[in-house]
Parts: sequence; structure tokens; C-alpha cells
Amino acid sequence: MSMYLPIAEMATNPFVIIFFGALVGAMSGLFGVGGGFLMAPILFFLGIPPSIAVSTEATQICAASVSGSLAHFRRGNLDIKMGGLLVAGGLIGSTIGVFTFKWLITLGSVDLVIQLFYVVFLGGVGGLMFLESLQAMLRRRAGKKVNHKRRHGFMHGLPFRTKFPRSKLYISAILPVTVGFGVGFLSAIMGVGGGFIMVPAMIYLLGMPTLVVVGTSLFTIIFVTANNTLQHAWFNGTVDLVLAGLLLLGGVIGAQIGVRLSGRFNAEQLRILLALIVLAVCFKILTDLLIGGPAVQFSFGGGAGHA
Amino acid sequence: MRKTGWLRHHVLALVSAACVSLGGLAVAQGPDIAAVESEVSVGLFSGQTIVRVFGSTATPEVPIRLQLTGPDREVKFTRSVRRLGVKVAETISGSPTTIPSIRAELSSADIPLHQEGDELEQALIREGVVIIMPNAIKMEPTGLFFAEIPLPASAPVGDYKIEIFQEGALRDVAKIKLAEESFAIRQRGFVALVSRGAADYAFLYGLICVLVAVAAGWITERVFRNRR
Repeated sequence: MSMYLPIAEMATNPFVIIFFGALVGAMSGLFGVGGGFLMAPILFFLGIPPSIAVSTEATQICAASVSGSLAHFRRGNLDIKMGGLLVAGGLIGSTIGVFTFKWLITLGSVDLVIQLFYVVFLGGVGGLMFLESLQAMLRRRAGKKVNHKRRHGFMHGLPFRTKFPRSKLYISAILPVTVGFGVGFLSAIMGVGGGFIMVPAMIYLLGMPTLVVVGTSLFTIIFVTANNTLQHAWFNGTVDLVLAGLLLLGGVIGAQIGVRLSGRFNAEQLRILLALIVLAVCFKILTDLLIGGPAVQFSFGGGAGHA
Repeated sequence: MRKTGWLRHHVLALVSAACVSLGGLAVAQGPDIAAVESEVSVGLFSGQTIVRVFGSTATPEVPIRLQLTGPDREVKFTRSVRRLGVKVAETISGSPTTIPSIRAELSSADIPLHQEGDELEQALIREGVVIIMPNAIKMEPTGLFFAEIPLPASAPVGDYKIEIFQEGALRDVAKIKLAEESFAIRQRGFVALVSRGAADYAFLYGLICVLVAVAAGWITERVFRNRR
């Protein structure tokens, strides 16, 4: 059976999309990450044009974040002031990202840029995550306690310092706005929520307590991905509602499986596994960039191809 | 009345997907053109589309060829070039900028249908944009012929043209066009709604996408909350 994707203008097997949506959804449930950085490359590998994959992913991540954040909000694990500043920066970043994306489409190099972004970020984050979890595991084996020191760098001395009662912080408002901006920009270009950048940034850069980090990060991602969805649909015409529906369905199924599986694994082993998956995806994109592929290729113009 | 033999073509574009209407049949002087209208529509669960063409010729001994061309689209041909170790797509200068989004070439005999060694053509054949089917037209001794052209499910919407040529009697003489037909692929139902909505009401469409996402996320959480 095949299903027609109206915006991608191609037929696809809906079960393949639902299957991978569920697989990534299950990993999200297991690892507590959005999974956009895995889903978008899978969609590239399935032949969905990268511009449509990235834009449509925003819709799925928005839904997943709404669903994942409600429990955190009810428990009050949300720093609304910090979230608001992150969202403010995020909306500016994501809007600039959408227009950069549009500009790259007209240049015809959007695919290459998306892939390069993926190689750099997946390689960097995957590598760091792998090293850190390995060290943590070794330290635990050696019986030492893992101690997280809060860094107090020059950036905490920036102007516009303000109090964040929920996070028990007194830092410059420029910091969360900048973090939000970067996350929003990456989110628009790469079709990710940006949690994999934002969560470490919130912990190590802003020094937020881990309790409010996940809720505040999801809060930010909801607004950033909603903005991405709206603007990609509005200005680039690259959001495919049918593809989004299939991804949502898969994601819902997968998240339930993931949550049920999550109790059965050791957290540190999970982190190493996730790091390895991230590095494998990075390696696959890198090899696609470096070797193989036919010499002469062609691409039809007209952006998403409105008939 | 007719210069070169009596030719009469009755070309019907029949499509398996749905909605087929057949037009009349016109007999004209010389190369004959039959007027046939047919519309193909693409729905949410459409698979491969098969276009069936029937016709007749008074000279079955002369091989014929058929060309199906889809709506024109802008295209960019690129060649992979290494820049700092990374493959970069570089535009091939002098390559066509507009080509039919899909093209099928069929023949009733072993006639070479494409130039060997043409890199651009090879790339198009590899990706299924050009479909080469020698010997795919079944010619009866009576002059009736029949062909099936499989179009990929991703065949773009728009106006399609089917042309039938007869091989020139002499090698140097260009092929003679015998008949021309057209049909259209249109989207229907939900697919048409989404694709038209996204194009004509982009802001509203984006807003709907956001609402769908938020609603889906909220409903999911409501449904599964108690089970976590």
C-alpha cells in the first residue's frame, strides 16, 4: 500500500514511516530526548526531500513536547521567567533560521548545509556524551562520587542581571535569550527540538537546577517548534500535513513502548547507547557526504513544488 | 484525400487509477490526431498509475514509437566535485534548465530510444524520470496497437501529452508525428485540499498544522496519563 504525501508530492509506504516514527518515539521515551535529530536523518534516508523532512519534523516535535511537558507543568517543574526569556530568544532565532532556510533553498544548497549541520552537531554532542558517560561510569566503578561544580564564568557578570526565583539564580537575562536564539536557529535549520543542546546549556551554562531543566526546556521547544511549523508552512511551503500525521501516529505508539521499557535499563548504559546511536547516524551522513553517490545528479526546482 | 497511405489513429489514454472519460475520434488529413480527453486523479491512497494507450495504423509493418511527456519543470543538473574533501554539487554549465518532469519512450520494435553515453540522460533514467521501454508497444498484424505505460506514484500533477511517431521511411527523414493526445493528472479529495490549502492559504494552513500538533500532543497525554 502506498500513501500520497501532498506537499512532498510523492508516494510512500505509510507503515514504514509509522514504524520509524514509533522506533524514534520509543527511543525518546527511553532516553528522554526529543528524537528529532534521529527522525530527520531517517526521513532523508527514506527519500523525503530534506527541506520537507526538517519542516514537518517541527510539527511532530511540537506535539511530542506538548504531550511530554504537561506532567512537568502540573508538578511545577517549570521556571516560567527563564522559559519566557528562552522563548523570546528562540522565536527570533527560529524566524531567522526559517529565512536562512528559504535563502538556502534559492541557492540550491539547503541539503548540503543541513547535512553539514548534522555532522558537526551529532559528532560533537555524541562524542561529548559518550566521553562523559564513560567517565561517570568509570568513576562509579572506582567508588568515587560524581560532583558537579557550578561554573561561575564571565558571562554571569553580563548586564541586565535579574532574579530567577524558581531556579534560585541571579544571572544576566542576555544568557537565556542567547541560548534560546541558538536553539531556535538550529531548530529551524535542522528540524530538531534542540533539547540536546538546550539541556546541557541550561545545566552547565546557566546553572539551572536539573529539576526544572526538562520542563522549562520542553516549554521553550513547544513555542519554538510551533513557530517553525507556522513559518515553514507560510513562507517555504514545506510542511506536509499527511507526513506529520503519520509521524505523530508512530510517535504516540513509540512513546508508550519507550516508557514501558525505560525502567528496565540502567541510566548510564542508556546514555552510552544513545551516544553510540548519535555517532552512528553522524557517521552515516558523513560517509554519504564523502563517498559514493552518482557523479551526475539533478534536482527539480520550484522549492516544494506547488503544482 | 490522403498523401501517405491511409492512417487512422484512435488513441485513448486509459488510466487504471480512476475517472476515465473518452472523447471522440477525429479523422484528419495526413497525420491524424484523435481528440481524447481523459483525467487522472491522485488521491490519498493512490499507487502506481498505468496509462493505457490503444490505437490503430494502416501500416503495421512500419515501426512506431510513443512519447509521453509530463508537465515541464525547472531542473538543475549538478556534478559532484570535491571541495576540501567534501562532495559539493556543482551546476553543469550548458545543461537544460527546463525538462518534462517525466518522460516515457516506447517503441514497437528494437529502435534505439536514447543516446548511449549521455550522462544527463543516464541520470534521468536512473531516477525514473525518463522511462525507456523498447518493444513495449504490441502491434497486431491488423494494425491495432496497444501499450501500457507505468507512471510512478510520484508522477507530478499537471498536463500530460502522448505523441505517436512513425519511423521515417528513409534514415535521414525525421520521424513523422502521427497522433497526439493529452490527459491530465489532478489531485482529488484530501490530497487536493491539503496541497491547494498549503499553496493558497499558507498562513492558515500553517496555523492548522500548529493546532493539529498541539491538539494531538494534548490528547495523547490525556489518554495515556493514567497509565504512566
